[in-house]
Amino acid sequence: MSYMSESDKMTTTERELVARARAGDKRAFDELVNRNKDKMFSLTYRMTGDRETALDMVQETFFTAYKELGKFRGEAAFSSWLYRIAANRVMNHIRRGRLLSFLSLSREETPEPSYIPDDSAASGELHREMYQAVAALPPMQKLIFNMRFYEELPFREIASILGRSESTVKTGYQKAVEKLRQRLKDFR
Amino acid sequence: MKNNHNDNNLFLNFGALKPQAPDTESALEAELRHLQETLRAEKPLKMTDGESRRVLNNLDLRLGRYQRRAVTFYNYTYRLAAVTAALFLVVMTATLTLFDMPAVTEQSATVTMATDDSDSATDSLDETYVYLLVNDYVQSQGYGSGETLLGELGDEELTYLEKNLKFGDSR
Repeated sequence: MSYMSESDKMTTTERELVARARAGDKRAFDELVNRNKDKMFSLTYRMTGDRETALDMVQETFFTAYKELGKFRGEAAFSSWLYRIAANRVMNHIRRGRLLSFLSLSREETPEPSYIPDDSAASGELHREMYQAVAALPPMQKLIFNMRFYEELPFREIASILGRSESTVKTGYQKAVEKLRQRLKDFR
Repeated sequence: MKNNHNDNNLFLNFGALKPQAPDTESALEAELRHLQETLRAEKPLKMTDGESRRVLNNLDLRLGRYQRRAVTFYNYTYRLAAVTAALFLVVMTATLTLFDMPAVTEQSATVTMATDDSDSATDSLDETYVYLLVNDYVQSQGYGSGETLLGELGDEELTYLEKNLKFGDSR
């Protein structure tokens, strides 16, 4: 079900949907979920490397968004606000994992990313190597890299989502890229 | 994953500065293009229809429960009772403190002394101490209790532990 025509799918539509959802219109909230669920899944899946965990996080993200809808001021895009909730969840999840690992309460710190393509060709091996390199980035760099490279968010928006300065975000991104370039060189 | 990147944006995509020398520029461009093609070779990460339905159904159930809880009369009654009880306790404690000052002071001094005796070496969080404490707990409670123990930690607690135990991002 669509509330607006394709040409109206800009911020005005989003604002209207948010306003309706705030007023208790469940269908408007469902529409917001449908528009953003794949973005949230893509980010959480890349960050956690585990499909089920990512699905749980998507659900948690929208549940939190529903509860906190009154706090959304509409200054940024709704998707940015969702990204912020999802990013907080992801970082919290990773920190818990690291703490458990640090205290020897968990066997593995970072699960093998399950989205690595499973083919035996030489290029597949290179892809696996690179996906592992992305998975092995420090969490904040990985988050910045995924938001910029795969989700194609502008640096300014990423900075706003993460509550950091734009220059910090750019530096984090460059460091991540540098590590990936090095890994690619080492593979040759 | 979107695919509107092109070669003109290559340097911008990777946050790299274009080198001045043409040779270096073409070498770097080739390297970045290779990196981009490699990383973009995967399929877009999307939920399957089944997963999407499952997430939406679960979300609907949770939102339904949340809405029912939010509007239930008993919820307000319960909150009102809790607030009243808390206020009553505060008033009672304040009253008792005012009328029974010596006894309270004596008790506090004893507690302070006991704490000082037993805990003088652990003014700040010591990672070995925490490690032993947690492992003792886990050994006594069995496998999986670590997750239970840490399951309820909030952001502030995690930040505190991360800072003091130095388990955070060091790379």
